[in-house]
Amino acid sequence: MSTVPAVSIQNLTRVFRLPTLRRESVTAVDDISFDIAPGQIYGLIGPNGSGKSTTMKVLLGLLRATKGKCAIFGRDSARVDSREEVGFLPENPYFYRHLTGRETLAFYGKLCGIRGAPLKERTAELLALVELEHAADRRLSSYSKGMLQRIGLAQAIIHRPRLVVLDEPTAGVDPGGSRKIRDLILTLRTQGITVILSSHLLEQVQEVCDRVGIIYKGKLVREGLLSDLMSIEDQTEILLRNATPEVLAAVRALIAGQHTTELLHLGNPRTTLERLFLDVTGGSAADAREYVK
Amino acid sequence: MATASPDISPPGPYPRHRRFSLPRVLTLAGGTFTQLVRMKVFYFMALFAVAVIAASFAFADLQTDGQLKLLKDVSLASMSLFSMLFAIAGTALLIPRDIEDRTLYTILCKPVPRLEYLLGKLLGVVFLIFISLILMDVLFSAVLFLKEKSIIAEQINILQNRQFASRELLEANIAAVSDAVTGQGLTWNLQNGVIAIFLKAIVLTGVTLLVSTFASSTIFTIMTSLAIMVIGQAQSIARDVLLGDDASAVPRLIAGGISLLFPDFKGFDIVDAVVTGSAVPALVMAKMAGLTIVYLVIHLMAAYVIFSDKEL
Amino acid sequence: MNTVRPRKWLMAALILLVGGIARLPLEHAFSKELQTHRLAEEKINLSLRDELGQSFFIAVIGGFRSLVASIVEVENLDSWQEQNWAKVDAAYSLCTRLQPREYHYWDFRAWMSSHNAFDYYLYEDMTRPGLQPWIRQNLVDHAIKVLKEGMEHLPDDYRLPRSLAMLMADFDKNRDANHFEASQWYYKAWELRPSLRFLRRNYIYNLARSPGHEIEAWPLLMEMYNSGPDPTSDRTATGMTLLVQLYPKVKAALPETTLPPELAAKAPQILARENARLDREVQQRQRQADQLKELEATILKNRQGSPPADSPQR
Repeated sequence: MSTVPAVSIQNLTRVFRLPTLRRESVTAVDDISFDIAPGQIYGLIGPNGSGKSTTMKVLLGLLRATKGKCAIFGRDSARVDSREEVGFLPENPYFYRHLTGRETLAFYGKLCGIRGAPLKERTAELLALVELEHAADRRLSSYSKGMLQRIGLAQAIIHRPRLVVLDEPTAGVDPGGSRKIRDLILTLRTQGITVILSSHLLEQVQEVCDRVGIIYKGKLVREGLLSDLMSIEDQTEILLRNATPEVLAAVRALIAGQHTTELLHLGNPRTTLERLFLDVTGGSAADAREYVK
Repeated sequence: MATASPDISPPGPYPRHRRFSLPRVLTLAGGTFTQLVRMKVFYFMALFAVAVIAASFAFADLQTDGQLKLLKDVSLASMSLFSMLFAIAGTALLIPRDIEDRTLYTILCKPVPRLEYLLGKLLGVVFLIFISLILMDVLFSAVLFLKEKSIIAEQINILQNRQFASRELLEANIAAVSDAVTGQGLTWNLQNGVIAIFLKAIVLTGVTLLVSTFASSTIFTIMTSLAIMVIGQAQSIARDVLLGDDASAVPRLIAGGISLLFPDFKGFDIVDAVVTGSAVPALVMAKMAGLTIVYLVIHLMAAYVIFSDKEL
Repeated sequence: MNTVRPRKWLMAALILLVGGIARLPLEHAFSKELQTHRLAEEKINLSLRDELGQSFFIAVIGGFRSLVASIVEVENLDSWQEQNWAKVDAAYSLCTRLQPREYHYWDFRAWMSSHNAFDYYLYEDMTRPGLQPWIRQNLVDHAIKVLKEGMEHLPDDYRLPRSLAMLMADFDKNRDANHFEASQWYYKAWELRPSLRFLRRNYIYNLARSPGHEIEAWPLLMEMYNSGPDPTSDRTATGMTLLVQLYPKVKAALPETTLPPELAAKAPQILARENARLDREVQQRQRQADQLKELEATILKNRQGSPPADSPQR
């Protein structure tokens, strides 16, 4: 396995100067650093305006870094050739609405250097994958939001990138479609494809991601394996089968010694991602529910 | 979506990235052309057809050469207007809309250098103008040819039925008809006028592309480009002031600014000469094309410098 | 938000400036070349703005000069139909200033004056009988002036000198008609278009009719005659008539001069035919003059009161 990280972000800072006479500025991203190993699914979460989109845009070369570096599989992300390894699905994707679904995929495929019969095959394959064969020859202006999302996903992976960046991939998609996208993301991982997922749907991030980074006010406040982030270290869980209250009491007594009760699980209790989110951002439950909505 | 076993091929060998790829540029150009065509711009052709056909039948009171001249004037002026319209409005729509719709994100997230994106947009519009001019030129030439033929037939009929007092009068009348038709009729030289219109439109497209790289809206791009076009028509006057001896410092400075920053659009206005039958040497057309390339390179370079630094 | 860094703006401005400096000599040279080939538009006189109106003036600045000239001509059709000759001339004057290298406008401006307006003042307008000949001659003089001005802009077009020659040979119209001058203009036209042999023939005819130039014209007439009997050759009835007419004079000056025998044999018939033609012309002119006198008398009779006291005598 390659030791080169799929994504390497080091001391990334991005400052926006506001167009005012007082020359004010906003630090959208403030000295964040993290690596993503190849084949991982990385969740990037944070409230609106936290710097997630800015981070992704710098990674994709759409914005310059004020300080710091970004690399994709070892190549500076500002370089054009680094993007042959990247597929991107933006939030609320807009494509050329005058093109049909098939033409859209062909257009992006050609931009990635795929032509002729391979392009035709790949287009057909992806249309089948995202279940848009029936609408392949309709213009995108007639597509629903969910259909646009699916065609967007197809164009993101048309050139078989090693890194896929998905910004709110299930936004506006019905639960069934959302589940399918989740399955697709998991399949991407089985193929060794690295995924960066930004989503407000915390349950979904919890379901698919290996690692998570929480960005708040431009800073990376928490980052690491999901399992690690979500464990509560100062508590232990004990799972018992056929336990009676006496056994429970005895278990307590057993803490000091051994007992015959079958112990199924012993470990730290898990919090929810929602609670963790609230803890680090200082929000209320209502805020968290609103955020989850 | 297929859930049984999603068939996503594993990452495979990528086409080797090329720093400049003509197929990529042509893909973008084709996309731009399709975009503009599907905006139904070719419906303008109907207006043009109406104008040309109306001009061919209108004002039968005019003499032979007057009728043919009017037909040429209306047709070439329409071609000029439409090509300028396509150059400015067509180009002005592209980049601001791509940014607004965020279509640009998905394009630039592919391995597409920004220069290729600009080139692709430019070529797409140029190709649209080219096709439009071809269609208009074919229609105009056909109508002019038919008009010329009908005039010749009518004149021959008159000459055959008239009694002339002398051979000289007969020959003079034949020469007059011949001169009127060859002077104002369909000639290859007319195509030089159409080519000049095309070259002017190319320069205008380059200018508009440059403006659109920093403009915040389509309307601003259109108004600015129109203003540049109008000023460009007078650039030669400013150049004469700059290079002449009479002007004082301030007018010379202003003239210098105009001369250096704005293209000389007057240099492409040979349509009037072509309509009067003045022959245009091939070398002159070659130089005009060369000047077009010079303008294009300058404007494209400036556009690239701005656009490559533009954050999205 | 403007996200382009200031140094990039500077770089872009520098590219435009340096590019401008580099292309300036190219533009200048190209402009000169267009002028050399007479492809460049004439400089526009700002005074035209008043005559054209704002919209047309902007169209002219915008490169639609030819179209504007055509529209001016089309709009002028009404004036022509109304026989407002001053307006007609003003319109064509504007057209010639917009497109000085368009033959059609010079030709029409001269024609309107020397033919249409002339005929109007000959046949239709008898308001000032004493002034009519003066008005008509002025119209012819004006047409001559227009044609000469046109030739400055179109030095290579044979049609303007030809039109001028026709006016100079028209003794009915032009009080200053002069066969010799007509011959010179025909010669100039022929030099510009040698393939049109009728121009050369007209040059020779007018030269032959110019007093004192008969000897000069004689060898040219003989050359025409000797071109052979083919209908497309230069042996014309007019040429033969002139040979017969000039022969006595030329013979007197150059005794060795001879007339071809076959022409000498036909000389009496040729002269008789020519005299008959001249008689018919004289009679026709007399009839026209009588008709004009009747017309003039009718118009004067229909007017209330006597003619103005200040009308000059004919």
